[in-house]
Amino acid sequence: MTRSVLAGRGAVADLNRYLGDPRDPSAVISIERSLELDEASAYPGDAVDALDAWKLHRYYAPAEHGGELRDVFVPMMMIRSTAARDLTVAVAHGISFLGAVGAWIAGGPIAATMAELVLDAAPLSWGLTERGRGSDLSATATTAAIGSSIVVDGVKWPVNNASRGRAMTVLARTSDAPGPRALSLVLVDKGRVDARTLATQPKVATYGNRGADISGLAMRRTTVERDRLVGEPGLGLEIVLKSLQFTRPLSTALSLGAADHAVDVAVEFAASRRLFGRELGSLPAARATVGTAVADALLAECVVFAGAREAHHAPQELALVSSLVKFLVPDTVDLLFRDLTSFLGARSQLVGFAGAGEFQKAARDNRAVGIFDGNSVVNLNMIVNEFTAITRPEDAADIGGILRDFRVDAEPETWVDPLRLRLVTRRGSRLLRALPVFADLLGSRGSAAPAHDITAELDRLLDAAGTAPRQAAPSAASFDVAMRLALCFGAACAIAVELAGRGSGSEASEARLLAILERIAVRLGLVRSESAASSAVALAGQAFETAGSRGRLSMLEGWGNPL
Amino acid sequence: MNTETDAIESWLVDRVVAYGRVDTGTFTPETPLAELGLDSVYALTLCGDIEDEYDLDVDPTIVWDHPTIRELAGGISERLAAA
Repeated sequence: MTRSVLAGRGAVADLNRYLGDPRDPSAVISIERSLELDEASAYPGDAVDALDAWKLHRYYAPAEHGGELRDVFVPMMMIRSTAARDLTVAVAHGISFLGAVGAWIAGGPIAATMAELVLDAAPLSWGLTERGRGSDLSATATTAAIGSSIVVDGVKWPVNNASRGRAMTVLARTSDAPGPRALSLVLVDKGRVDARTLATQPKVATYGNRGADISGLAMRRTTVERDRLVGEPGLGLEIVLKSLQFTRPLSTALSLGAADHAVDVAVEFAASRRLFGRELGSLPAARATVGTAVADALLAECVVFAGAREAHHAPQELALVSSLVKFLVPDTVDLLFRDLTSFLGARSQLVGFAGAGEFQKAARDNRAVGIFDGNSVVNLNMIVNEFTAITRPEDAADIGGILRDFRVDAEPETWVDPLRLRLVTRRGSRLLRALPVFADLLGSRGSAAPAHDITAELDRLLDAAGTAPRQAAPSAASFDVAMRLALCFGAACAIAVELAGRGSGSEASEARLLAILERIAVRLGLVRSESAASSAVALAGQAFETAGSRGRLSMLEGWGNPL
Repeated sequence: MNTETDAIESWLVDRVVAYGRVDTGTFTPETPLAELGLDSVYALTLCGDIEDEYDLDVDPTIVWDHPTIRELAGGISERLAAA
């Protein structure tokens, strides 16, 4: 293991200790306080300040610019740990990473300028969306006239941190010519412009993340210095699309934290609730429900990890991988919440007594993850757009290379080379291409059976993708193929993580993989849910045992996922 | 313009017609691709076709930077020369 691996993991563990037990009212983030603020739709300022005091922001700036960002999985695990306690806090702090990332992609002097802001713990925002333009960034109407200085005119709304943020990376039109090269990115630092030209727009009332500063910023002939362009003029949309390739997997760490939170609540409920004179957790049906949720959470963990690893090791495929990850993880965690809602019964909805309240908040907060940074429909559309690349003939994937990259102790030591990013892949994802070989590698293990079933389904999906018509508005059938491809991708991620793990093939590790793959087979409609029940029951057993020793089940040994 | 660029240009014209959004003779190599029914999805398809035909590694930004058939033929020709 290299020093940086230990440093990254050690930092995640340190943050977990710092944040403490959320059931303790004096902890940095306590459940009690989180629920109070949520009820009042109030900004979690104390918790955000505490994360600043711990210097979480240092993990948002690459080491080459003075920060601690090397392996992107490290800040992702930090965001996960924060979100497992209060997703709103993670959203409120993590948005600064999103506001900054365009400068890391653009490089040059603006990256140094941005790093100064980040390392100063300046809250940042990312001004992409505008009222009435939905997800269509090419319709951006905010203008930035570039002369000896830059004059910005327009309104960005709704934008996380628009009011509280010190600086906003603004997507603006810098040319009257039609086409994507008319857009550029400009860094608007509120501390360096005439404040009279700025006006904030009120916070929006939201279903989840109620406390987050989702608001707007109006700029009326706001003048910024010429060197505040993030990238050359005309590169705005390209930089945004490449930035999104990082921020999509990054934001799924929020869902992973929400899944941790939900599973904790369910496991605790199962252990404490008595029904028919027995502990709820001893009833087979209850164990199957909990085990299924744990399988979903472990799948989400593998897919988030794959997103991080591919960012470093297969950036040329990140255009597709980021969309697969960003669709699959929030969708899987939403499903997990829905399944546990009926398990928890009334207390999944109630507020105001011990053990209740936190679940309904986490469920609402997680719903937003599927919306921002490209919603699920946008991501499925991206996957459909990749059908040609995915179905293009290609040599077998380099399995040894994937398994090296997926070792939990193979932590990348440098931030990603943005020059390797593409807007569309040439050959899809190596993980999808590897699935048939992965299934074979499972040999005589029980998990090989669902792996082969899923591989056969992948073959059918590739046939369907290859013949799907090219349309600006894809058919419902194409969306369905894209969703199912994402599940096959999830299976490949889980197998890769398992095979690369130190405990690969052990009884416990095999039981985890089997439950994950059987759950995917159920979601694909390949088998009935009853046939996956026994693997789910076994997985629940592992989860109860781990919870008994104050731990949380994980596919990533050594990354520490303490309660 | 050299003959190679001419050949690329006529291949591009054929591709655009093959996508079925416009008929031969209703456009020139200088008509913006966006006016030829080439939305972003067809731009991706076109990139794939360029890769397969010329064994070139191109991203959709080539269409952003060369928004007509004539300019795109020039762009492909330049990349072939550099390859």
